[in-house]
Amino acid sequence: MNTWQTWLTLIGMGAVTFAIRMSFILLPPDIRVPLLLKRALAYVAAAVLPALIAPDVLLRGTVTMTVGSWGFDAMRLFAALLAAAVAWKTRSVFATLATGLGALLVMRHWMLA
Amino acid sequence: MDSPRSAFLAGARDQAPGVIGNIPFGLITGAAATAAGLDPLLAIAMSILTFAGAAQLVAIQLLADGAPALLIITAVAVVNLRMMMYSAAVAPLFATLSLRWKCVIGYLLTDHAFALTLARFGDGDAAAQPHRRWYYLGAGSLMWLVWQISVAVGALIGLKVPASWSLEFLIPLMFIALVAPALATRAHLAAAGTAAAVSLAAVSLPLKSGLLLAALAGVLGGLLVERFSRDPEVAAGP
Repeated sequence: MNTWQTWLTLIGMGAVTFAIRMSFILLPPDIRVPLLLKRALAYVAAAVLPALIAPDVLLRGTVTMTVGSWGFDAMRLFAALLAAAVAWKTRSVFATLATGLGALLVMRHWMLA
Repeated sequence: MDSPRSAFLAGARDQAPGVIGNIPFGLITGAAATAAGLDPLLAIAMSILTFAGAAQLVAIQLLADGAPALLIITAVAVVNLRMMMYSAAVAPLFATLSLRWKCVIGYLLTDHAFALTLARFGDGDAAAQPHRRWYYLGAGSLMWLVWQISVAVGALIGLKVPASWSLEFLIPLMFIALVAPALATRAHLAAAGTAAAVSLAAVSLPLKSGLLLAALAGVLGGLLVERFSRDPEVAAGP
């Protein structure tokens, strides 16, 4: 992608994001939104983010564990699960990042030592 | 909150913890852009145009992979689709404002602004809160300013640490911190589990279509569990 193509991509990203944000804010109040759509939207965040997390955690690192034909990075998995528990309990971004990265580095060090 | 000024300051103050928590997110996003070979100017422009961290990170990864523009924009739309729910939630609070105000409110709408505004005004009486747009503006503009600075600093300085520190692992960790508050019910957990499983199974599909497929499957999983759940808390819904 050359520079102006990248610029067009960025402008497209901005436009589609703004359109999503404005969607219901601009909708006239007398238009009723289907209940099913509203209920479905409630699950979008819970679905999209784990869909981004799972391959990144399991399939990007070095394979240390195999299940059938699948190879996983078990250390990244454990670190992510620990971080998820901390995120759930504390709701703190700093605590989540520190726990996850700390656990991964400690496990790496321990495994390699 | 008896004047626009005090409402603005109250919003900024209430948003401060979330803003501080977002600083590492912004630094990582900026640094990831530079590491992916993106010009810092483009990283900053992307940040101002989209103002959406998770989508920016996904777009940076796709740009680095040489993905076509249409695919990147589609992926950004999928990642940001959750904001449609936020838009629906805050819309009644600001229904009477001018178009210009609505555009500002829309542009500043984030996970944090949504959560804060709903917690503060969700079940309140509109007439009793004449300055709530200023409260929202205070919260949103502080978040905006600190986010843009963090991304710019991250992009200009980069992360000059050895690869063995695995700092790229901060990206999924950031998403974990972002999603944890959303997993409030059994149905939300089902949505998360389904989407994660489908995205793993579909990871080799072309054009990142696995992300869209996983999102659809997750939403469907959530709806199904909600439909058939005997848990009264889930059945009643929020």
